[in-house]
Amino acid sequence: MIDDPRATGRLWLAFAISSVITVVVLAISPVKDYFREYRSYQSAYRKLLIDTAGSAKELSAAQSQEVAIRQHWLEDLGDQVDRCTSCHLGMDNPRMAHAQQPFRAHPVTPHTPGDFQRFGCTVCHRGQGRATSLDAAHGDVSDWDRPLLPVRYTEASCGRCHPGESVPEASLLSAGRSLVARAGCGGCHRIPGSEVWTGEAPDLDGLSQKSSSEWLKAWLKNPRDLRPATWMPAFHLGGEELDDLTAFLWSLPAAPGTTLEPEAGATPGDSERGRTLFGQSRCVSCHTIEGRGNGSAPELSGIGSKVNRRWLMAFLRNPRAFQPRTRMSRYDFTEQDLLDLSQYLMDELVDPAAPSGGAALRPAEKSVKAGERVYKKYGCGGCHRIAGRNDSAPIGPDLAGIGDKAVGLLDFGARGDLPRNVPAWLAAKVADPRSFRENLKMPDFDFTPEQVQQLVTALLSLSAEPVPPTFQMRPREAHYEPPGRFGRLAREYACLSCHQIQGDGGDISRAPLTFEGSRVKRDWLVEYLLRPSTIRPVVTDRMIPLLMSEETARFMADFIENVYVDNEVPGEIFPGGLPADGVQRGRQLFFERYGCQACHTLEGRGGYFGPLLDGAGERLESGWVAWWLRGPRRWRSDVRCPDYGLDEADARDLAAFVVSIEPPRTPIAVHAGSGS
Amino acid sequence: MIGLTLALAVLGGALVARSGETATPPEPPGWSMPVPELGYNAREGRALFRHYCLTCHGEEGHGDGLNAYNLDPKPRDLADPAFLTPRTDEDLTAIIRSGGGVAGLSTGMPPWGRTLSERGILNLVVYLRTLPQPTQEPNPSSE
Repeated sequence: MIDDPRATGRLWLAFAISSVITVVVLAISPVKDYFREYRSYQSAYRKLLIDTAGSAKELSAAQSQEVAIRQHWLEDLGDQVDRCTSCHLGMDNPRMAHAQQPFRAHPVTPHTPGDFQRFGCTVCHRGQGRATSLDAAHGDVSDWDRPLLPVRYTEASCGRCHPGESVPEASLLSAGRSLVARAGCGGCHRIPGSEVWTGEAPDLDGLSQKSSSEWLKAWLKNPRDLRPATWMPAFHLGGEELDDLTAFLWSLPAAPGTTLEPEAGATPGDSERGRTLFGQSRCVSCHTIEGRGNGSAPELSGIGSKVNRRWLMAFLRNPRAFQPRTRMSRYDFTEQDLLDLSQYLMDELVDPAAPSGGAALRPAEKSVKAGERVYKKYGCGGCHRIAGRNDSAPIGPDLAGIGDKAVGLLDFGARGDLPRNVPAWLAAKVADPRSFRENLKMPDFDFTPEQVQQLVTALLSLSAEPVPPTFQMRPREAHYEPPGRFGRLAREYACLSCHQIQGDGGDISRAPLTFEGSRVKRDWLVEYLLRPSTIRPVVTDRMIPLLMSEETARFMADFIENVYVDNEVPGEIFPGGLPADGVQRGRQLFFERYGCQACHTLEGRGGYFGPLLDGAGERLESGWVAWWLRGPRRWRSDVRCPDYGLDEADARDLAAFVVSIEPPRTPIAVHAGSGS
Repeated sequence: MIGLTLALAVLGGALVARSGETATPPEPPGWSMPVPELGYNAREGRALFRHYCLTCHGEEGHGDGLNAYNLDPKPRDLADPAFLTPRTDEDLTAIIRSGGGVAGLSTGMPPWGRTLSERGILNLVVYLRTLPQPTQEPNPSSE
């Protein structure tokens, strides 16, 4: 015990001061909370609700609201707590659809407003959920590496749980992922979800027997000068690198078995006949001529200036021999066909501005070796293949987790003009890759602003954070290889480049073949394989005449008729012949009740969009028609024929009418000429 | 004792001072990213429009699609304010869902209610409302 009164007095003073300081320190948090923005927002919102209350019940509910922190506690999502609703009060109130922020209602999306309790907010919008002040909640503070995602990129968050190239109701993300696949990002970067990416870039063997060295050099300098719509990006090579790379590529021998005879291609062909053949072959079902055509295969308008005739004939004879990964089909052309077609292509499809010549180029050994180093430096092997070489290791950084990257780890280089966040960095990088530093290797893709937005959305969806298993969607893998002899023929003719079977294949023909056998009649199918006719006049990407033999066509038709069937769908449902009253009633239903002529041309009237129905009975099985009418989306979910909700009687009568329609008196021309 | 309380006071002061700090500098002048034209609902509606409606109603909704050539009556000019403005969202939803017949219009307009989801029709209506304007004002919820 202290007896000294002065010491006691000092002690009491120290106690008093320290008590006051303790109380002040403890009061800091409540005082800060008192001045937080959410309190004033909640008072303002309460006033807004009172002013706009439509009934006494709403008024009393509004008046009884208290000012308090509101939060969602998401136990399943790693114990996250989102307090966004402390300010964003009108989020689930549809009457607030046009209110000022922060009161505005959340737009209707697949997960809102139904899933607020399940997902909270930050899983899609990022930011700092636990914070209770505006800047901190939006993540505008140092050391918070997940600031609020700009609204234009919100769909990136869909991609964390939803894998796959096409995510329904997330069109920006889907477009971005398609673009990642098409533009060839996987050639240089490892991208989770795109590990089995295969590109469209051609194999580079035997360029010296295919093209001219001047054309090659011009192409390497800037591909878009020669073909504006090409997917190859511009590497801006110049000077020695350009010469060396040209030398290296020029020196590559032809792939085994593709060396051309020197005197082949000397016989002239009939260019006019070639023109007719070109139109009949429907090359624009995949290629483009001056921008018109499907576009999944290269632009052909300058082909005569790129290749020589000898190579062109050999390629058309068997494309897969020169390009094993090609999606191009093999036409069974005769030798005369090849002479005439190649003559036409070399005469007419020329680009006067394209360079040619330099065939006598004999590059020096040193140049070739230097060129090989250039080839490896820029990672050309990531997209292109050369027989006997394996250069396919990606040279760019791994993009796993790029969407969550800490912004401090990104190199902004010379781009001090950019805001310091990941989306801005990604957008600038994709739009202008080499603006960040000297001597960067990423090429220039010349994307439009819309494409940049789509790509950044797709890239931001590459997250390193694991998703809880209950939230992760399973990707739908579709890989189908037709079996046996049919499979071999399907590969030669590249059926799955345009058609889909069991979900695998291209989408140029929009009708899947998975149940084709239940749909069409066998005799019609044989005839169609031999001489394809017009089914939908509005479509420009049409079935190509493969010029196969009769025996092959019969075999393929029999296979399809017996294997690609839907067991539930009956074939012929009018075995005793078509009922006359059913046909009559069906006609009435067709024209008057359901207005089918809005899309289907019949007897000269109606819209063009759907298939022509004249002669439909020769093509379609009546049972299939009745089933189709009762549920067009049974076989494919984005079919455009609307579901009218027909009952069985209506469907049956309509089917009777449709298959009763006579074929047109003048037969529809079999792809006559070009441009039709 | 006094040292401890002083230390607490300093600590408290530092806490108060730090809470007001923001780390990101203001947006540099002259740099801006293109603002998207349409918000989410209108964008999804546009995708649906292009897939299902464009062939009759045309790219900009003027009723001049490829399919319209041989049709009588012609498909509606949806971008015409005289058609769109008097109709409520419920009217448009009903026509899309149940077809033209429900509003006394042509049965050439099919019923889409069994093909599109309710949310899809909602998005379509949001998109249709954007058609009469030549340029879309920036969506208020985007930066």
